[in-house]
Amino acid sequence: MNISREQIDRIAELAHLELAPAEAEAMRHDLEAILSYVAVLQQLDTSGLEPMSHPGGGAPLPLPRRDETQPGLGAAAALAGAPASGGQCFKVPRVIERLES
Amino acid sequence: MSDTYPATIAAIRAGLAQGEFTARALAGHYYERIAATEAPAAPAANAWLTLCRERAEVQADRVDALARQGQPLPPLAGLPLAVKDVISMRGVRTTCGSRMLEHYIAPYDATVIEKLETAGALLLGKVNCDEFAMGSSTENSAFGPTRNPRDPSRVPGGSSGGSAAVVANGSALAALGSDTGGSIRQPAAFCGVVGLLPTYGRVSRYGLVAFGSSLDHIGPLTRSVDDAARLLGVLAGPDPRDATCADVPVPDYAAQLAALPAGFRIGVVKEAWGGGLDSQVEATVRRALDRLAGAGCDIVEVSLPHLHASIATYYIVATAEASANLARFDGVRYGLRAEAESLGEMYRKTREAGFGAEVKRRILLGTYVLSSGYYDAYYRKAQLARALLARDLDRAFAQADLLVTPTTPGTAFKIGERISNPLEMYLADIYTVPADLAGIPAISVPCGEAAGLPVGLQFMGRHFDETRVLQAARLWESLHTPPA
Amino acid sequence: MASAVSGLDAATRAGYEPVIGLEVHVQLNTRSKAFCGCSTTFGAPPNSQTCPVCLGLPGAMPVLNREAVVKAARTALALGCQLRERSIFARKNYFYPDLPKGYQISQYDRPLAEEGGLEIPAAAGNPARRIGITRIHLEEDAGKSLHEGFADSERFSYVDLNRSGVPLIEIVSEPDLRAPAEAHAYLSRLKQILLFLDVSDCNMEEGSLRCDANVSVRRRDDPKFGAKIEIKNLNSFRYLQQALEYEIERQIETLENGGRLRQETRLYDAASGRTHPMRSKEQAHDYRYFPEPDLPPLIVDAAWREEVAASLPELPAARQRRWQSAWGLTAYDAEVLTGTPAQAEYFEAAAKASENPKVTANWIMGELSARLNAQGLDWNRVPMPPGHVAELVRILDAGTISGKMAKEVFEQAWKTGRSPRQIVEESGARQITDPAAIDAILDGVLAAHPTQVEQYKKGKVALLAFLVGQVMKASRGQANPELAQARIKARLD
Repeated sequence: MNISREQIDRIAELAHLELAPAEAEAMRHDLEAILSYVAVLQQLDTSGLEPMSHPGGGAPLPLPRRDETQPGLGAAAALAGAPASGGQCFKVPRVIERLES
Repeated sequence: MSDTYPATIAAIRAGLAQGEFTARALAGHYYERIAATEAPAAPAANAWLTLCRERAEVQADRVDALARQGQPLPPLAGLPLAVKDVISMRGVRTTCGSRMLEHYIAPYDATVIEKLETAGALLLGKVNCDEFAMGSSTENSAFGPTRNPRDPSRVPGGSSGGSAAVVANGSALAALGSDTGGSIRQPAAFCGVVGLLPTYGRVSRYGLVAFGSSLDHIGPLTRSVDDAARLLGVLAGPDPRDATCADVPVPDYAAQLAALPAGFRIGVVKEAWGGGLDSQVEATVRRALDRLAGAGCDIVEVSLPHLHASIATYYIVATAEASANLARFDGVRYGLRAEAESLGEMYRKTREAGFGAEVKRRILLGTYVLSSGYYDAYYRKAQLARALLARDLDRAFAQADLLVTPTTPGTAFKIGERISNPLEMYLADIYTVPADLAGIPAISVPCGEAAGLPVGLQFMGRHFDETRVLQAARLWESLHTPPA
Repeated sequence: MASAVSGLDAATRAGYEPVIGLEVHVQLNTRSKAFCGCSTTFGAPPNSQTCPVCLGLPGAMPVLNREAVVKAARTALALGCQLRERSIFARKNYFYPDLPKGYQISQYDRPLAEEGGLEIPAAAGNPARRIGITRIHLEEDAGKSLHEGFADSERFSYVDLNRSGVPLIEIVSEPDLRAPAEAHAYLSRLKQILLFLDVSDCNMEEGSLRCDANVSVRRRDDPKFGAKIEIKNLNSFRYLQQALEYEIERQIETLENGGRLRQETRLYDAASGRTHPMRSKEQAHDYRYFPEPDLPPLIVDAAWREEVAASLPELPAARQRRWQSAWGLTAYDAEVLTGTPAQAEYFEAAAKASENPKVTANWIMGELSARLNAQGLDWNRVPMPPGHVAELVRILDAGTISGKMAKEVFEQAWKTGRSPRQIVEESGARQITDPAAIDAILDGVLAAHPTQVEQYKKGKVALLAFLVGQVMKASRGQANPELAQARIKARLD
């Protein structure tokens, strides 16, 4: 399994991780090794199976909750850990464009 | 210390009820023990990250007041307990072993924290772990590796290495850990304590900082099976704040240990032998099986034909989920923020500075396996493989009540020995990941030594059948530990 | 407007067919958020309606709000969709400061509902027809980023997470729309239905109804669709239509000039009336959808589906049909009176009480609407109860008062809030319908106008109206004019 530097850069961009060149190369190397190893899955016959995303043995789960409001944390507690805030809002470097929803 | 105070949950509760000692004094004793184990000369265990003495003492006073008034004590009254630092406690630093959350004070309690305090436990503080529970040695903590009490040059295992170390070194009687691929059972095995993985959905995850949400579990590490049963009894049960927490009745586990069945039908997983299994570990486990057979258990051979694929399956599913779960650490609302001119730069620099190498590696892997063009080949295939492994386990449980394997292929390794080869580190999870993938309960109990280091024996059970898992572990414990 | 581009001639324009599909996001009007118990009230102080879940704190977990499912399912059934018994929540991964978890909980390959449709009236030369609905899925809203209004807004944005986690449904149409006017008609029909279903307040200014459009053009003889351009930020009916008109012209002109169009996302800028491409980086998204492990599959079984179906209100189209067939209303009147659920309810109540729906409709569409408009009131806040309108119609029908008097009584009732019956009784302003009383007034009138009486008798019948007028004047408007006319004729003919 070959991973190119471009692929590593693209993944790092999607994950918003900044990698120094040496780090990117090390990650590329590790990912190649891991992806070569996980290729073992391609040999498995999984026909007739449904992808499993929720374990738990089919036990009964609680029903969706009723539409009732609960007190929250309050703005002061919500903002208490914020690295920067102002006007009771979280403050970030300016956003250029908005992608609604 | 056990000269002064009893070392089981039941005995502490009885001693408090009879006024033999106070919870306040007991807490003080444990804080002294913590100070001793963390003193540089020891050498320092480096297991405790944050102590919450005031909170523990308030709780102790509450228990002492009940005892003075002659009122019935709650089930875990006075239990000195450590909490893995991936579980949220209101007003307490919750670091996840990461620079990212070095100064993060959680504003709310996890459900398990509420339950434990209601049950009278004394939460002494938070203990070390691999960063965001990613690792098998606690070397991935931003706050340095924890040392194995049995041999300070060795790792305690991980990711719940701090939890196992403090139970083993006597600075807590029990600890909460979390297990995504073996993170409770493997350190329990390395440190010679009991580690219980409950069924997925048995214990609420609300407040457990997520790594791989469909694999994450909270469970206890203890010095005895009975203590594990008592803790599970308090931790288990549905939670309106966790939609994956099952609405299944919770038995009185401790009561069910009082009278054990005559024997169990125990399936030995044949694929577990060989491969990278250390020969001394194998010999220790085989001796244990012989003794179980001698005690009336029916030992049968079962097969998990796709066991070899479990590591690959696990590392795809877990990292995919982790890549999303760790996206919230962006420097906006809490935790570390690197100063930057633009938003994109802030994200990248914050995450560069806040995450360690293993976390980045897993985020990258998880992002890759979900990305356009690779989803079907990796993520979807892994979900199918997961279903395949679960089916293998179902078939094995048609032949046996419990399955048994070594907990780990080897014993505790030297600090620094494996840090440069992540894949080799992953491969050592071979026996523990199947239970997480299938969502079934499992336990690791001490089973002797190999070259002077503890070996763990793992029992796995059917979904929600913690009772049998605990009973078998108790049976083994009674064979292994000569009665006092 | 469209003129922002150029003068494409009509023939060139006619050679192309626009193909439009809409993606509409609707905030559901539940009390609490989709996955936590925080309030959804609009306009609260920033970040005051937040908790560990909607702040995306480490360790917090979502729990689904049942009512959000009910409202989504109700919409799906009203739009004729197939409800999926087992739908799956998925994580949609992207970074944005107002998206606290770094992913949005949404639905992807197994949405709640699929394959519905919506009837739109004839528009832009196209006949009335059904617009397909591809899917409806449930998801959570993001918070709000504020880019203006702070001293350092040049350099910083501010994030309010009160909206984070408010339940949304996304309603995706098929690319069945063929003109901006049709898109407008589709969105207004959709809004009307959502209001009748009581699933959203559909307030576009507050963002509870938001619209993105996919638009392409193709030559009339080309069976293939052109490159799909997505336009965002269409947050009013006017912007929707203007943006589409601009974009269609732009695309045709590009093709006419030999240019090529490629799939992209563009933003509508209301100030210039133009669309412009988003920065290419924003388009490089790879959302990496995967099943949300924190939420089990959503099961809407037959019993639950039946319960939702049974709770469906009568929709506007059905009401219009019923009012036309049972009550004889014109199609136009029925359409106007179903403008909003409150108006329809008001009319329904008044019409039933008056037992004369047609006249009731006239009063509501005439006098009442005019006064509401003049005072800027909406149908949720009508100061006059529907019973008063009904009472007026009944008094009028009984002949107790004349149409002219009725208008005065209505005015009094509107101003004072008193009931029309009370006003009529207390003012004594009853119509004079007793022939003897009319005769007594007539005696005076005939005596006062001997010349006109003489001319009438000689055949100048046009003077009848003059004499009736004199009776009305003498009675201060209270005489029944038909009766007055009949008595004059009886006395003089």
